[in-house]
Amino acid sequence: MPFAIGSTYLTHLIVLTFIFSIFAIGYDIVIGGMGQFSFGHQAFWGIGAYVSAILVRNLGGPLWPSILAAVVGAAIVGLVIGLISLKLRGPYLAIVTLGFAMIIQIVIINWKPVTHGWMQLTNIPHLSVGNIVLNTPISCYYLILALLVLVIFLVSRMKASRFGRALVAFRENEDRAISVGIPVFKYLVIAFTISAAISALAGALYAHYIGMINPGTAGLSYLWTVLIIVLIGGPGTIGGMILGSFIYILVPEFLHVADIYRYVIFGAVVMISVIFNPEGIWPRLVLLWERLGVFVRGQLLKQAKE
Amino acid sequence: MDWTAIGQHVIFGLSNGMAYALFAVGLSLVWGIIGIINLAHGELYMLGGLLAWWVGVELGLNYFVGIIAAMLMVAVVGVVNYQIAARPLLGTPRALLATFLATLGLSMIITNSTVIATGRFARRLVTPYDDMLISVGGLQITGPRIMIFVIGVVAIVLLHLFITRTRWGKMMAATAESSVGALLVGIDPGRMHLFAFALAGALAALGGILLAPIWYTSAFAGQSMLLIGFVVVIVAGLGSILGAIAIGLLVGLSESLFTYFVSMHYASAFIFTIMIVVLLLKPRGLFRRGGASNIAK
Repeated sequence: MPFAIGSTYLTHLIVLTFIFSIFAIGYDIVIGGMGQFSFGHQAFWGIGAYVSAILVRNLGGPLWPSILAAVVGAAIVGLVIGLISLKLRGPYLAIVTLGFAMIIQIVIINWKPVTHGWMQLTNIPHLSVGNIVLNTPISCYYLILALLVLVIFLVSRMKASRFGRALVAFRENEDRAISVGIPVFKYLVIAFTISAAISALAGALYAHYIGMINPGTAGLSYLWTVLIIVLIGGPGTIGGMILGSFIYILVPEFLHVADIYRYVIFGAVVMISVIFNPEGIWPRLVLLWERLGVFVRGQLLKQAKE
Repeated sequence: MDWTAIGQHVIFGLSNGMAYALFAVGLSLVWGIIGIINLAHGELYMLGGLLAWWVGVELGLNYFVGIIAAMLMVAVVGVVNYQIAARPLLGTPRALLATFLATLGLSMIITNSTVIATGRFARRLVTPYDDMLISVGGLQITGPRIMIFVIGVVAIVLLHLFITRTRWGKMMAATAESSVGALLVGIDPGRMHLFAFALAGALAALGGILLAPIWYTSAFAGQSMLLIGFVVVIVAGLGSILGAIAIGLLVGLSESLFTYFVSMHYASAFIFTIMIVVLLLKPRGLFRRGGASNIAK
């Protein structure tokens, strides 16, 4: 809770964590949900950021309809990329989506009249609700938390639906999924499109929250960020996405004491984490919690018998 | 048509392409033999250029001593790369996903350690041939570009002899062709994996060393090269060594000619488009036979 944290900077980091959680939940529909790879989601995040920022800042559009337009725009791009590339699997899908994302980034770099290229887009208007401008981390906190909760709710509903279960069937065994009549290609394209839309929502929020973006916002570093968050947290789990975002944002902050060595140490943390715990941290925590439950119940039973 | 300018761009393109080829061979071998994508491969390229700079310029030793020393050192880094970021994860249920993360972590470690050691600045590898200039019919070729062709051709011929004439080379080519088949005839996959990573390190380093006098090099040079490596490997087909060399040259050439005829800004977008088209029409690459069935699944 922001009033309990009492530090603007820490609140700022937690707001960032929420935004990256939304991004990771969107990305994980492909990684954990479909069991496939995309190396192209930084482009959807970047499209979300740029479209919304340009609509509001350059064209004076209203905030929320612009964010919606950015989400729809990225969904359309995701749909097209999905239709073209979702016949491929595994590393090939990863590389073809990477190719599309790089092309999108190159367009952003060179379309200078609109995007300003590497000169950055600055002074992007803040988030607002009605006439209230949310220009501090604390004022954005509840808004972004609410959106995160909304995304979690919608994605959980999707996962529990017939469609979500069909995706699980595909992930576990593609041939069997086809043999029971699941229209695999169509479902993959839909899932990919939803995933692109959620990533774009996160990107748009990021642009308005931070206030400036550059072509790097649609670049590889954001792909590596979200990949690390999803894989450390635990693909296929929503709790893992939030946990992964906290680790990604907060661990390098705590490593500030290590000064210039902090990203070296963080790289080592990432590596050690995956080598000793390839399933991700969240499933491990859930398992521990369940074991603790069994243990406690066992003890209670023992006491009851005595 | 300005034929001199075109010829000049052909030379630029082929010399860049030579470095791309050397870089991509290792990426292709590792991907083909072990079935993982090494996201730290770009850092091996970067280390090659910077270590050659360190030995040749900072320590003031001979340029060629720098080349050999950097290649050997990066081969060792390649072996370490395999031992800590690939081997522990092979055979686990989601090995590909896990090795993405592990090699990404390693790449963060290498990049940021390099920043600590050398700073963020770009460095230029000084060669003894910097002042050399050969003019052939109006075309001018600078010393460092000539060295790319000379050293690159020597390296490729040696690589070819190694693969076709030596026992280890044949074992390696066989494993790249079919790892199951290689296992059946008694080739130890573990040793091949190690060897592939060492060779990949040395060749990526050589690519970095050859481009360092022209493009300069810094701790961040690895990422963009990794992308070019993906293009070459995908278009050529996994594990095809000669294919990677031919496509490496071709990618350098088409990038350079596109820069001349169309636009400098969209040259890399052009080669990514080629990659996407090849991937969709011929997913196994241009240099591998057989259908797409086992890749589309």
